Amino acid sequence: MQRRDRTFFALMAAGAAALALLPLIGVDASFRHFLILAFIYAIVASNWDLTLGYGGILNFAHPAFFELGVYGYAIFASTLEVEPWLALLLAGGVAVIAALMIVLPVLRLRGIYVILVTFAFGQICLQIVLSQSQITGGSQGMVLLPGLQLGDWSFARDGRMGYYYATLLLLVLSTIYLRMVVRSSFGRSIQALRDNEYYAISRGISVSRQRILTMAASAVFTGMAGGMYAAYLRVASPEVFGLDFLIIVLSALLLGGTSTILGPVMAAILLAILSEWMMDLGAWRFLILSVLIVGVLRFYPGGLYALIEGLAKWAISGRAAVRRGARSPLK
Amino acid sequence: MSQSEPSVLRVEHARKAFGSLIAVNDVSFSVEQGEIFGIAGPNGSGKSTLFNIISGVPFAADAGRFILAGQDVTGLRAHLRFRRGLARTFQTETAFDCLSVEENIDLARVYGPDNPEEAYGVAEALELSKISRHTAEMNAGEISVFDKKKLMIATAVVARPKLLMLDEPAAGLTKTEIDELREVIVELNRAGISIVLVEHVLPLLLSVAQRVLVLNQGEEVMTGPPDEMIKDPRVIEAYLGRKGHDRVSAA
Ligand SMILES: Nc1ncnc2c1ncn2[C@@H]1O[C@H](COP(=O)(O)OP(=O)(O)O)[C@@H](O)[C@H]1O
Ligand SMILES: [Mg+2]
Repeated sequence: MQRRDRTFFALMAAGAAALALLPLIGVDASFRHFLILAFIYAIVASNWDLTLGYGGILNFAHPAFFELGVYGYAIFASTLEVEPWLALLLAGGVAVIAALMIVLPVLRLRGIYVILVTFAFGQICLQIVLSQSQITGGSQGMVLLPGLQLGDWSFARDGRMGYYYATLLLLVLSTIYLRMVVRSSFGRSIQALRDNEYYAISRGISVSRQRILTMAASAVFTGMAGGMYAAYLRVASPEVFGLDFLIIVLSALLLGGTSTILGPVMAAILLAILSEWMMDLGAWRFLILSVLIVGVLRFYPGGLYALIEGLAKWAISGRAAVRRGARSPLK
Repeated sequence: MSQSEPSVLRVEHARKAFGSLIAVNDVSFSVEQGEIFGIAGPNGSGKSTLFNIISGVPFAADAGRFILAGQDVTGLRAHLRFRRGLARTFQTETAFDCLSVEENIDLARVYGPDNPEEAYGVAEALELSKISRHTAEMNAGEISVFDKKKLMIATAVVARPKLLMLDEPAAGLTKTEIDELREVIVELNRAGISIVLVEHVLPLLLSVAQRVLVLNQGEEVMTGPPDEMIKDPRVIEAYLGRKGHDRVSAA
């Protein structure tokens, strides 16, 4: 294992261990609720990094993969009465199928047109959900969905402790998966296409094939995160299609730093904690968060990850490498 | 050249126009097995465009046929042409800057030839391109211009191509660097790779090429061995314009 892989997994393991111990030192239920949501946002944001960051594909259908995961779980677990754990996996499958559907029209498009078409895809999904009310519950959504349990132990018991650990585990698995994907030959090939498309083609890499695979790969855990969200909240409502969700996840991705995986994960958790702290401030907290995001990105275009990396280098070497770290996010 | 062995590359009536500008106009030539084939011509004469349409990157030809070792690759998508053994470099040095030098080469190896066993190993490609071990571990974004040029050759060579097309590899290099580049080209050729070399640095081109095709304004001026080329009045005219031709013939 190379040094940068060790750094990555060490950081991830330390973060996961800290989060796993957190409930034991006693945090209140509402904070735990925020963290569960943060883990789910973290999964969605970091998987989005695969297309938006590593792949350089301006894919705005990503939130829709999550939303279809939510409804996929609801329909499988509730309507079709599939075992909830299996429905969770199937939610990932639903998202992958959606990704394969939207990637085909996108293959021939570039830049702004990719944004337009992929964004429209989310809106079309919403319209379908609203219009097919006998299946989806329309604007009412679907409620009282089956939750997760192991044997007789419901994950909602003991202050939702089961969901806390299940979601954290899903986040850890997703992070390992993403790291393995981007460090594989496939992952390198999509970065190569992003950095220099024609050169990559001239070295045997197929744009279409890699784009299809990138979109599919980014949907797997995103769909499962949707399933987890539905299992946890036990509702599937068209509200998840709203702009709020897109803004939260996109903020986490940009604030954390694209093409870093851990950046969006950390930023999602940080944003959840900050908005919890600032609950009393009402609408002001969005203003404060916006200023924070703009401020960080102004001085660290590489995002939080670059900032932390820079600080770490500085702490280790004692030299002022902080500034340099701003421009070279660890890959 | 025996009848049984087809030309490594046959270009038949290649043509590419940009609006009313005909950048490559009805150009035909063939490159024989084991040959170093030179292409010369003034700036804007269509050399790079010719490479572009042969490799399919970034655009295809308007007309013409390209036959690689007996197989028609004209309609083949660009990335598949590389996998069939047609590799090119670009005039401006490019690399996948976010990957290390070794990873750059390995990527071309993995996505390279149809049959991966035909490929060289990364270490062999490094050696053939004369890239140092130290450089190999660096990030491609951090290496020198000369190393980037060699890296671009290494990512082509690792696939053990049938034909390697080099677009002005010596541009901007010092004399010592050009000498090293000459060794790389000659050794690659000895290793069995046929080469098309577009080069503005004429001493390099004339010292390694067995035959040279001279282009002017998208059209073939002549094809022949280097010593014929430098004497050919049409070539002198293409390079220096009519006045230069008059001066030379008056002398
Ligand atoms: N993509 C393009 N669009 C429009 N014109 C081009 C393009 N590429 C090359 N040309 C034109 O075609 C001619 C040949 O260019 P090029 O093949 O780059 O010449 P060379 O490599 O011999 O210097 C030039 O006049 C150039 O301006
Ligand atoms: Mg040129």
